[in-house]
Amino acid sequence: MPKILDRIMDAIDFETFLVCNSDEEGRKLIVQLIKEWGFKDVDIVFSQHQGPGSRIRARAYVHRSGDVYGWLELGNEE
Amino acid sequence: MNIRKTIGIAGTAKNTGKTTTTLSLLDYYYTKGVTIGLTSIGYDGETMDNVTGLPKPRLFVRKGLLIVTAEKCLQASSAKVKILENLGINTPLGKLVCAVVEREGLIVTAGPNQSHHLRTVRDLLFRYGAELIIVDGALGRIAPMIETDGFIMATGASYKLDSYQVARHAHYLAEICNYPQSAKDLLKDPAWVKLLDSRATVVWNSLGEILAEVDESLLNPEQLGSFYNHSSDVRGLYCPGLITTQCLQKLGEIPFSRGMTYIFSDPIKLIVGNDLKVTHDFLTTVQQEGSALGYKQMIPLMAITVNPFYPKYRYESGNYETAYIDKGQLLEEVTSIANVPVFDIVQDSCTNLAKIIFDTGK
Amino acid sequence: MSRKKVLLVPLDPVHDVGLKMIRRGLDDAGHETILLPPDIPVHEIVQEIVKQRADTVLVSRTLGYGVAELLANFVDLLDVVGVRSRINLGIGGMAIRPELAAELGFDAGFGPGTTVEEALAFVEGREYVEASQKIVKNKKEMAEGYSYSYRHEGIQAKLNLIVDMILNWAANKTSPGVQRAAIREELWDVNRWRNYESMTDFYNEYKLYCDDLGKNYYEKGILHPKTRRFTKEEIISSEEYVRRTQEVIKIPKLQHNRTKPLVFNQYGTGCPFMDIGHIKVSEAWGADGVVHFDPSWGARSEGFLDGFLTHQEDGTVITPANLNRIKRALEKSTLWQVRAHRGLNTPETIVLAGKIGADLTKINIAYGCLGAGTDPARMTVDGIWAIRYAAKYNLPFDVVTNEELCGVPAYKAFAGMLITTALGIRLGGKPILQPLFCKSPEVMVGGQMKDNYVEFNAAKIMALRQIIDAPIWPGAPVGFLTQTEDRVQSSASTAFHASLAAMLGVDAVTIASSDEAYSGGPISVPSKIDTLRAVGEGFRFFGQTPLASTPQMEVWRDTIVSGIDSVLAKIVERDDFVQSLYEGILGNREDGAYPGRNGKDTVTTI
Repeated sequence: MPKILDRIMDAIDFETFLVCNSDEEGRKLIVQLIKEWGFKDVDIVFSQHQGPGSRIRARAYVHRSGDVYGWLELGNEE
Repeated sequence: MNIRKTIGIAGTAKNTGKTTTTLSLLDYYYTKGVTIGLTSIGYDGETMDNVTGLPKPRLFVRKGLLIVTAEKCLQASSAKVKILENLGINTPLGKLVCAVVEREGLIVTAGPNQSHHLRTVRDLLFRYGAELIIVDGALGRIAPMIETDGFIMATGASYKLDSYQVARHAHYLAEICNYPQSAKDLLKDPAWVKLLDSRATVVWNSLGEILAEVDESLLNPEQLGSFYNHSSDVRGLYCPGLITTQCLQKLGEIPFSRGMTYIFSDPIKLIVGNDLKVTHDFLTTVQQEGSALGYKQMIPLMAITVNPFYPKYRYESGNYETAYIDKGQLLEEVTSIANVPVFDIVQDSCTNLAKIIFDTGK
Repeated sequence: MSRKKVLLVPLDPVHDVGLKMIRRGLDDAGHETILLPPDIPVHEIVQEIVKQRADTVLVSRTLGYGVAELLANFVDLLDVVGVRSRINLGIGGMAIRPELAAELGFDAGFGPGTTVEEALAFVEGREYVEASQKIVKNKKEMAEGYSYSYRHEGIQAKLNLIVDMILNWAANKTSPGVQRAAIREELWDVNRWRNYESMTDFYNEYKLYCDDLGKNYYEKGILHPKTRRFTKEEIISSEEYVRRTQEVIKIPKLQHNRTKPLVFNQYGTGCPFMDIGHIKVSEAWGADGVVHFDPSWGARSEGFLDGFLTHQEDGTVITPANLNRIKRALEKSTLWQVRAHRGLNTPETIVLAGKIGADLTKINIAYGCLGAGTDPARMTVDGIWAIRYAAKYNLPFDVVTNEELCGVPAYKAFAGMLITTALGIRLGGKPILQPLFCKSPEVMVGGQMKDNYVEFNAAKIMALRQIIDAPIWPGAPVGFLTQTEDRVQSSASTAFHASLAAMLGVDAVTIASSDEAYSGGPISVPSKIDTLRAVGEGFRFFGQTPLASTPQMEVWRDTIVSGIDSVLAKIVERDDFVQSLYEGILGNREDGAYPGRNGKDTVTTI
């Protein structure tokens, strides 16, 4: 993972509108997409299916409590 | 002459081979030209497609099969069926309909959930010419089996990994279902026979006179209080309803004399909600003391099928993989202590099982 | 509906608050309820059910552990004991999936979030119709119930004089815009056009009054650069998308307990298909109406092109095909506004909008020439015809004071608005007042919004209500210039402004997306949901709470009213409306208003 991701304090959210047929389908697809991008610790924060698709916020945790925080190590790199 | 029969297929857990058993039987009877009526108790949610909300059809059926299932199941089926009648019974998957398969394909059944509805379904299937009705059971549900003439239990490693425990459970079930005799055969005195019409739980003396009477179902040990009076005069007991484990235990404590006759309604009433070991031990103790056991209605456990397969959970992948216990050992253990025919559903051909269930006469 | 006996059973170690709430609801509805204590063994529960002879048993289960076995066993017990067939059996709670309940044969399964109403419907044997399903949105007639009677005699008198002045001046005048509108009106039959029948009569006349852009198109088929046509496949896919959505869409209601204001948002990504995508989402999230945002270059050229044209700049081109496609995608209950408030095509826009089936339009002569670059004489001549056509096609139109955004003080902008409004009333139209809720240059310099955004906006509404009984629809959108690119700030600001509008009892409100301040690209669909959601929440929060009037509001109200009066007096004195526009009486250079040049010298005398 590129080092820039280390600077994310804890999580990065992906907020979008996904055209899909059901709430389950939308959730499945977005998780798949974000995992394809290389994120592992992925969860759906919010999902609401209405009309043509779902309003979804998916989250990938980069640093969880107790992890070694990449953004603390920044000083050492340069 | 072929007697019409209704058979239930129950399973102790998922993946014990209930569906495989059903499929094998359907196949076998088809080749013998037996008209089968197929239904199920409720439906298995695992067969639902999350996206479409329709069931995924898994049973392959052939032309001529009569089925009772919910409307939405027909929508999802690939087999072509002709609807014969709408039963007017509602289910979450629509109304129950009776249909006949016109072109083979896949179906899924979602039948009645309550036993009195199953009775209606059964009568209807017979009316349309079914010779043998197969009721695919639902996990955790045994009560509707009251409307069958007997059932098969599918069990295996998915229930318990320890084959001895699987065997013991099967043994208890077999004993409970099959050991007591039919009350009709057991009771000689007409005065006693009349007591079987009682809607309440009764105890009587040698003359057939009722000494105490309590509720139809024995749910709470307190209900048995009045049985303590004249307990030494009691010669027979009939319970038309359910008896819970605690009540059975309490019943065992009442100082009835030896040589009693216990009549229960049917094995289902001793099984539902109960600890099979306690029920089994009660029956054994009572029998050892010289008492007789009978059921007003017999619902025999006709056979057991075993399946050594179980889904093994893997933490690394967060998924399940196929696994088996020793199938030889499983078959042997169950056969040795269960007093009913036992089959390995994958290995054995269906013929012997089918013959036990229903004599096709062909 | 008879009184039922309901047994409520918490199948958990502790009490369930949901079950208690349902019990309360059932009691209130007059049913007999018995709530069992928690943590009772299953066979004792069965005993209670038998003993109590209940009609309905509602079971709740919160703990997920072993729930399937527990419930299967419970159902079995009820079946064996013979009581299952006599009762209505429902189950709910945090651990319950309705699918599980269905598998086990419960008569109803309620998932988490079930309302008391649903449980009540089940007990009473009624089908529960979800609130959002029950809402059959009907199109509201926005001007209904308004008399348009004046409440300020002085202003009324002046407005009538000004209207006379304008109509007399315009009586013998025409413009290419007016002529094209007449051709469109007489020769362009919408049904023939929809059936792809020949429209050559129309085209031959029409192109004579178009500029080069139009002529190139009709004679040579040349399109504006940056536009492209759609392929047949794209058209079919878009129709499929709309059809699929229309089958499942359920339109929620944002207004909570109020009936007003109607909530409008805008669309205009540049592409009608993307717009349709956006519109369906807006509808699904509660928008009552949508406003077509067309690009400014369209307003600067004489004449409309045709065909499905998509392009990449801000705003979706007005062509009959684009409009027609959008019309077909709308839900029956969605109000649709096509604007005709500036540029060289205003009367024709209204003819098209009327024929294709729009519900509303927008006209403002003063803004059109002071803030949007159209020549005052042209704007006036065209504007009168625009109003006539709007009246003919029964299109209410809002009169928006966008010149406030240039810096024109509200009282001047309102004077202009009232003139167009008065014209509208005279010509049989249905004008709607559209003051701005915005952080205008006026207040930035004058300090009226230093403390709050409430009082000055409220004063505007109060001022208008003192003058005339007419519908009011703040725009455009509300909260303009208070929003930043921060989503939450932007959504919150919109929600607060919309809530203010609701508390003031206005008829409608146009809201922005949370992308309002973002200029790097088209507005995204999630940003539209942001504000619809926020506005719905604002309405929920304030409910029907009224807004109290403050002394400051009254001061500003009076200042605005007297300001309007004095501006109108000046115009009456000048005795020439168009010249008043040129000379800046309704907004001058210092205010930031410049009379437009588009269409200069195109007005001819008949």
